[in-house]
This record gives sequence, C-alpha cells and structure tokens, in this order.
Amino acid sequence: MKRALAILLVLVAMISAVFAMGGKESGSVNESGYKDTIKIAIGADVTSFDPHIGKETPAVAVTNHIYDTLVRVDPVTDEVVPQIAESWEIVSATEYRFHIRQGIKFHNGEDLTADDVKYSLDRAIASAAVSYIVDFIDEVIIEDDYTVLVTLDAPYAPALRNLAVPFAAIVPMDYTSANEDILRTAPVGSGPYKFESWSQNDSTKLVANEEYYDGAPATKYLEFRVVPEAAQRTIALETGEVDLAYDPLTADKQRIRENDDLVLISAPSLTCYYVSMNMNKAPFDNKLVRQAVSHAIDRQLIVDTLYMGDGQAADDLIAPAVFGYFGCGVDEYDPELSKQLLAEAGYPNGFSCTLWVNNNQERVEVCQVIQAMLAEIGIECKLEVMEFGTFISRTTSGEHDMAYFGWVTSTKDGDYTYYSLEHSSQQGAAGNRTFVNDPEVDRLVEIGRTSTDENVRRQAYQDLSIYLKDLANNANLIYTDISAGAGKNVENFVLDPIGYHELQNVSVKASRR
Amino acid sequence: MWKYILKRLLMMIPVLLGVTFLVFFILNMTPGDPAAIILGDQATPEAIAQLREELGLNDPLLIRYFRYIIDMLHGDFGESYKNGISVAAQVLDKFPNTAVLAVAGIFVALIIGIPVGIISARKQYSALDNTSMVLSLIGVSMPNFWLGLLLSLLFALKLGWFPSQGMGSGFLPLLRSLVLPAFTLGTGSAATVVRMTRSSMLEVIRQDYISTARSKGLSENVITKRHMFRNALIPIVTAVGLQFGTLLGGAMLTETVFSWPGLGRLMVDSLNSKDIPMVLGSVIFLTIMFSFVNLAVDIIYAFIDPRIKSLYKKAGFRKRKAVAA
Repeated sequence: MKRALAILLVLVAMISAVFAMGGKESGSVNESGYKDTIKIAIGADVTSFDPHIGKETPAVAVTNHIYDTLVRVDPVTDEVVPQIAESWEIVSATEYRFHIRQGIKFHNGEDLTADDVKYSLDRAIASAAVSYIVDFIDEVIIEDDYTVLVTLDAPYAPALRNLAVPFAAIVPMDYTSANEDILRTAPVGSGPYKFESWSQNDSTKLVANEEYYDGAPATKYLEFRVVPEAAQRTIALETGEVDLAYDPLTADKQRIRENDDLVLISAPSLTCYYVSMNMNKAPFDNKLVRQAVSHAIDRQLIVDTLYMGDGQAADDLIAPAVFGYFGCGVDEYDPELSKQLLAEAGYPNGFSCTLWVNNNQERVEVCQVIQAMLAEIGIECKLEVMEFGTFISRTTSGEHDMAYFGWVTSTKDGDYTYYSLEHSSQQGAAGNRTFVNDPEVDRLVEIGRTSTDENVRRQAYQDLSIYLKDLANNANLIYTDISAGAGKNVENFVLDPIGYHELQNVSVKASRR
Repeated sequence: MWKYILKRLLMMIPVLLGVTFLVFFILNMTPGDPAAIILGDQATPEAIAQLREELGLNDPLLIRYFRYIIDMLHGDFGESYKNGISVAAQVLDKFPNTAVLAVAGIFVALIIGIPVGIISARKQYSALDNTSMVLSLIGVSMPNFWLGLLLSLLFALKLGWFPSQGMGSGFLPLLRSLVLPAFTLGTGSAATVVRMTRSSMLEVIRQDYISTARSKGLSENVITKRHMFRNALIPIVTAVGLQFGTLLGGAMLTETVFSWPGLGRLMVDSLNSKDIPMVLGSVIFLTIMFSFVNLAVDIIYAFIDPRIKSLYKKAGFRKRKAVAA
C-alpha cells in the first residue's frame, strides 16, 4: 500500500511539474515590443513546396512568401505592380518585354537573371498542375541578362494578371535543373522569406530574407501550424498559441467577434457558386424556362441560413473583387413570375428534370434547398449526388439537365471565368457546361480577352454581364466569404480574396491589450 | 519458444499479402481518379491524362499490383502520389509520434482501468462498482473527437494548463502537449480495461484457492495482489494488447483533433487524396506492428503463467523426441 502511495505521489509530482511549465506560449519579443515570430494556424499542410506543383490554397499561402513572380497584383488597389520585373513594355498585342530588376539574389546566393525567368516559365508551362495559367505563352526569348521578351500565341489581355499568379513563380535554374524534385521539400526562391524547416502535418518555419529587394520583412520568423480541425484553430487563437487563424468555422465566427482580444476579418472571396443549365437539352433550350428557374431561387435565404450570413447573393459569374465585374442586380426571388414564365414557355404545369452535384456535403445541402424551391413552381427536380470524377466526366459530355458548380477566378481577371464558362470554343471539359453557343457572347468575350485597353475591356464585360443576365444559361447564386481570425495585437494584415494572404508587412505586438 | 516465434513471424507473410491484395483492390474499386483529385477542379483533361500516364494508372490493375509487390519485396514502397516523397520515409518519420501517443494512451488506460476494475470486483454491486460501470459505459460510448474538444475547451482555453494542439519539442513541452491527447485516447481504452479487469477478477474471486488463502490468514491486499490479480491477468493482457494495437492504428481522430503529426493523420490525408502508395505503405506498416503486438502478448502469457511456458517447452520436447525416433 505504501508503495502504491509512493507511486501515486511521484505521478502527482510529475503532473505538477508539467503544470508548472504551463502558461500560454509566447515567442521572443524584440526591443520595440513586437514578437519576432508570427504563428499562423492553417487548415491543411503544404502538399509540395514546388510552386509549379503545389497549387492548393493552404500550400500557396505558405509558398508565396518564398517565391516571387514577374509582377504582382496589389491586394488593396487591384493594380498590376512590378515585382521581379521592375518594368515592362507591351511591344505589340502578342509581345511583352520585361526588364528584370538587377541585384536580386535567390536565397542560395545565386543571381536572378533572364535565364531563370525563361527556365521557370517554360517549367510552369510543362507542368500538368499549373500550365493552364501560363499556356497563353508561345515563347520566352532572352534578349540580354536582364531582359526577356514573352511572345503570345494570340492577343491575350489578362497576360500580366496571369503572370502574377503564384504558380508562375520564378525559381533558380541551376539549383532546380540539377534535381527537378528538389523544390518539393527544399524550396529556394527570391521572396521575402527563406525556407527554414518543414515537419510534415505539423508546421513550416520561414525566416526573413534580410536582402529582399523591397526591404526586410517586418517580422523575422513565420511559423505555419497545421491545425486541420477548424474548431481547434479558433481555440488556439483564443489561447494565444497562434496569432492568426485562417478559415474559421462559420459557427466560431461569432465567438471571435465577441472576444475583446480578437478580431474577425472577412471579405468576399473570388468564388461563385452557380447552377448550369444544359442548353442542348429541352426544356433548358428555352430562355424563359431558364429565367423561371433563376427567379425561383431565393439566394438571400440560402446565404442567411446555410451560410449563416457569410456570403452574398451573386449577380454575376465573377465576384466583385474580380476585374470586369459589373453588378447588374441579383435575379429577384419571385415564384409567381417564375410560374408565369413557365406558362409562357409552354410548361404551365411544370416539368421533371435532374439536378446533379458532386458529393460535397455543403453543396448537396444547397441543392436540396434549390430542389424544394423549384418544387414550389411545379418543377419536379430529382437530385443526383455523384463522386467528383464521375460528376466532371458526365457533365463534360453534356448528360446533365442542371448541375451545381463552384468556380474561383484565380487570376482575378474576368477573362479567366468568362472565356472558360461562356465561350463556344470551351464547351464541355474546358468549363462551358451550359453549352452556350451564342455569337454575341463570343464577340464580347473576345473583346475582353484581346483588347489591351482596360476601358474597352470593362465596357465589354459590362455588356456581357447584362446580356448573360437575360440569357440566364447559368443561375448565379452565391459569392462566399473568406475569413481569418486575428489577435488585436496583429498589425497590417490584409486579407487576400483567394487566401494567399501576404505577411511580410505584418507585425504582432507582444501583448493583445 | 524460439521456433514458435519464428513460426508466428512466417505466418505474417500470407497475412501481409492478403492485406495488400485487399487494400490495393478496394482502393482501386472505389470511385475517383487520383489524377483528377490531385490536379483539382480546374485541371484540363489533357493534364489529367498526362498525370495518369506519369503515375502508371493506365496499366491493368493486376500488373500494377504485381509491380507493387515486387517493388515491396525489394524494400521499395514507392513514392506518394501527392508530394513525391518516399512512402517508407514518411511512415518511419510519423510512426514514432503515433507510438508515443499510443504508449501514453495505454498508460492512461492502465492507471485508470486496472485499479478501478480491481476495486469494482472486490466491492461488487456497491455504489462504487455501479458508478465505475456507468462511467466506463460512457467512456466506451463517447466519441474521441468530442471528448478531445471538451478537454481542449476546459484545460487549454479556460484553465490554460495545456496546449490545445500540436506536439511539443523537448521533454517537458512534449509531456505537456501529450496530456490532453493521451487522456482523450486513453479514456476509451480505460473503460474496456475496467470492464475486462472486473469480470476477470470476479471469476477468480470465487475460486477455492482464494478461500484457502483467506483461511491461512493472508491480508486482503496480499490475496488481491498475489492470488487474484496474477491469475486474472491473462484476459486483461489480451485486452490491453488489442487496445494497444488499435491505438497504434486507430488514433486518427485524436491526432486530427489535436493536430498531432502522426501516422493516423497521414493515412486520413492519403485516403482523402486517394494516394494509393501512401495508404498501402501505412496499412502494411500498421499490420506488421499489430502482428508484433499480438506476438508480444503471446510471449507475455508465458511469463505470467508458468503453465503456458511449460506448454511451449513440452511442444518442443515432443517434437525433438519424434525426430529422434
């Protein structure tokens, strides 16, 4: 008995020692009262540190600090601004000359020159994962050590915005070509932070690049911690274990708002969810039927209930933060108008059809609501849920009546969405799953794609938006929000609408009060 | 004894082949193209076709299976579809983290389960017994992820005693970060150990030799320790062994809730992205570990119960005699 008591006492002593080590985690603090490490909770690990492979948002949220691109889009002004290229000239509609900033060094000490730019863009074009962002490039010609001429297959107005996407990152040629797999786990770029360490499924640590061309970052270290459980990300933010938590649960957002030490930052994302109606199939070949479907859906109710207010009703295929957005008004929820339109179209008693969706719970729930709303106007809609690969392949071949999709305009330029989803040459796999084939749509999309005058482009997208509202081939439903929770002591954090939040200007005061 | 161990090790070969066959074919039967999953929503069909070719997914299933087995026999478990890193390296990197958690979990299960089980048996139908039985029922029924979140809310958020997530580096930070996941993982197993200890002790408690021990004037503590518990140990060791094997492979939820970088999470991520080489490698490794735990349990029997040890010896002796004849 005495031995048991002794063991118990030892255990209690051990646990007390562990408690004694307790208290909340805190990093080092510099002389000016700011932390030297920003700790960020992210939902998933980096799949690959190679920027031409790892394209998931959590991966890019880390790797965009390691690599730079030729140009970048300013998250505040939405303007294309210089990065590795200090300037550029549009020689002709199909030729862009970039003047590379001299004196930029990669993290391994190599100079960044035109060879690296050509090598990187050619490598991105050859990558199955990211080529769609840069496949407008015909050739990259080296004119001298610090000048490259990028020639295009055809005039392509969003070229600069595409080159600003992190998948078009510039990597060191000598280092990478010696071992094509090396960037996956030992990345070297020219960005504001250098790679320090990666523990799979645990954390990634980056250290400031003091020689960064734009000045050293505000905080010396970044530590991205992988916390897959969203509720735990919020708890870690509340306890102070992390300074920033990306993508909190909808249910946790109120908790963050109510906490005096924290702040919730939200903005509309670049994602739009929509129902595509197959114009090759009756009755969706009839514009009045498509308009009836659009007016039968109460978008605001879906946002308020399923998304708990975190989002907004969509009035266009592209989100407000995308170049070319022109809000021409959300289709009003009006079941009576829908019934009238159906009667005019020759379906006074409605009809039966199917709505397809891939096996994503959130998407399925939205479709269940749509199904119930369509039933109110007499459309008996059967919901079919299928695995993603099957869903994509069957909608590509045009077997569907209606299908529910989500689309991210990852270049922040309307062309990326309008060309893929609306142009007649893009039917099926490329994205046009309403199979719209309309000369006026094609004309407006092509003006937006080829004109180098931004005003002309904006006008074309405005006309297109109005035209598509009437055509109603897609019922645009919801723009989702993107959010992050932060301590009140976090300064200069700017939310990126895609999720590629940049942290080089962010600093964190030692105390939240 | 050694022959027995060798025999058991050899028996692992068909088990492993069976497991690889089942997992390989089931994974390939499930819907979803790994190439399409890896490349995501906006991939072109050409890019998907190119990746399928690079991953060798266009070859017939049987050819791919035999290729995998041949590579496996050469010690090559392939590379992850997702990140291109060697499967063996990733599994070996993450397994120690899972092992630490499983050992801590089973430690919690034992320090709660065995004393409570013994006390419950000795005071059968008392209020203490009933309470422990109800609590163990709750322990078995409560989902790990929910208990984990509750513990986090209380001990990390409200009291600030332990970190809510992650695995600390260094001895004391590791210990601190281990407490909540170990309790989450250990409580379910503790409930099983309590019930097994109680029922096993109750069987022994009614034996004649216990009455003899009491009539000899031995104290209750000595009777419990030397005569009851030792004789009740075999089923308890079996249950603990099974629980330990399960914890090694089944800590996925706890690892996810506490962001513990272990093998369970690696497997969940691999399953979600249909990373077949990664899933196969993890399953093979866990099968080997589970088989070793079972073997260790069988060997422990011999140390607990001399009769079993003599059986091993007799079997060897009989065989030697038969060969001599």
